[in-house]
Amino acid sequence: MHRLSSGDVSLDTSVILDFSATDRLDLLLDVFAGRMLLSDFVQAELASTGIKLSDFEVVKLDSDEQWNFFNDLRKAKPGLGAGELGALTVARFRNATLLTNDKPARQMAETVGVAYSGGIGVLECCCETGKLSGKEAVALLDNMITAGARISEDLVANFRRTVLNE
Amino acid sequence: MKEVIGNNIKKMREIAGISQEAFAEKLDVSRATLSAIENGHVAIDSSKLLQIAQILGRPVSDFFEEKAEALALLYRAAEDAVAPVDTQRSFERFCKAYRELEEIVGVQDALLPAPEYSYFPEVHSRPQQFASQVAASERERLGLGQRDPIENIFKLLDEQGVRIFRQGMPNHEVYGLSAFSPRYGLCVFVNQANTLERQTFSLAHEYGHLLMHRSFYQARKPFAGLDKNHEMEEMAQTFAANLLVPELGLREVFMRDVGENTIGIEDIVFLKRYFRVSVDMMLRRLKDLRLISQADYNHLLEEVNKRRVDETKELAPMSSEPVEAWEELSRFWHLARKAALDELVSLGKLAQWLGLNVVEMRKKIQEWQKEVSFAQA
Repeated sequence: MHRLSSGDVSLDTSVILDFSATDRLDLLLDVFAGRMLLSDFVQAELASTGIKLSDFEVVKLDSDEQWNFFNDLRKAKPGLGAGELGALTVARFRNATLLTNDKPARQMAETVGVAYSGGIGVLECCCETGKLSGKEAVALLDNMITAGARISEDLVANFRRTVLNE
Repeated sequence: MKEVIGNNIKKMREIAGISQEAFAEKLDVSRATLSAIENGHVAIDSSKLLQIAQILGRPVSDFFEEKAEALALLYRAAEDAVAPVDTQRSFERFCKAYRELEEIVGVQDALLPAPEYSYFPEVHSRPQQFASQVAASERERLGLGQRDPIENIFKLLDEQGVRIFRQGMPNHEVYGLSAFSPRYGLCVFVNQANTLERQTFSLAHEYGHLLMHRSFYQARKPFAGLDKNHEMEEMAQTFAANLLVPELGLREVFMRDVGENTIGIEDIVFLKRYFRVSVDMMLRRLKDLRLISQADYNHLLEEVNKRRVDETKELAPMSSEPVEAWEELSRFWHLARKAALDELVSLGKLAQWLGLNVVEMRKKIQEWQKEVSFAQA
């Protein structure tokens, strides 16, 4: 079973944008129905874009412990924005997997021991559960990249090999 | 952390001039709750923090600064004109973004600090002469000599590490803002809604303040406008006039190309184009240097005004191409591109710095990626 097939996920903006840009936000809903957590910082970033996501729980940060963690991340990686910091903090305190395609956010998750995955993880999960065929998933990933998704070439090559059995 | 956040909320609320009572009402909390948050007794929740950031026009990260360094802003405006708060905040965001980008890209110490020519009223008895001398010294330091016009002052000062931010502001009467702090350096905002000639002058004027009046920016007052008759304003005017149109250079060109003949509109247009300044500024400079009489000045100004559509338009305007080309290649945009393409910053952070939403930011990064791919192909 794919590791994303159970448990909560904390989404950051990058993954939502990648699925939205290819008109496949429905896949996020299919795979993560009732398991999507959205930091209100991510929600604020999306507010001005017109992107509508549904069936998610908005998570607020409200304890000093959470704010300390948020600030430690901010200081350790000044290149992270409030959305990514919020998503990472939510992942940590709700024991969820961070879903991001953002390299600095993934690096930070690795450093602080927060489980993370990204758009490719979601596509793998879709293949495993039969929501997409291997070919469809690869085509969708290509479309995401054309639309501006930033995913490492190694991960893309590895994904193609795995799902197409190349 | 709750103490730091609370203290920053209080400080920024006070800077914005909002009472605790009015602020509590805007946030839909009791004054006692707000007081507990500001005093660090209660941790704020993120939805309220977002609301506060929006009301005060500040990025969320500002509330986490343990030793927040205030940026004192000085602005140049027509009488009674005030720079909108949005503009002040955009400018502050730019100054901070610039510094953070330098740190993230790792080039923060690449530039020598600009010199400081401090003006002390008790030592320098003639402020205008002092300002002229500073302009002459600065021209020498920048390798301009005392004759030639400045090809592109935006590019020149950008290369010196001055952080220049151009943005349109609906109020034409506010010409420029400047800011200085040891951490964020020398920063100038130029109102893009004005003519390019006025923008050029505003940049030189603000640069003059930054060179001569740096201690003013370290004062506690975070924001202040100066009356146009204030001594500091007059000094900055003199500095800008001498920097852009050096006396020696103007006298030479004037003697060579106008000489003893009667001066006409074409001569003024030629001179303003040569030195890349406004027609008004050129007329004033010619009068101040006594190259034309008061009567000639009045007559020529009348002639200029007859030809002008309205006061916001420039006669024989300079081309915007060099400034646009500079902007495209400016140091700030280079740092932003590098940070984005090397994935040193997240999409959200870049969007916040550049004042875009995440979708717009993503499109911009895609454009930058395409430029690089094309260059590599």
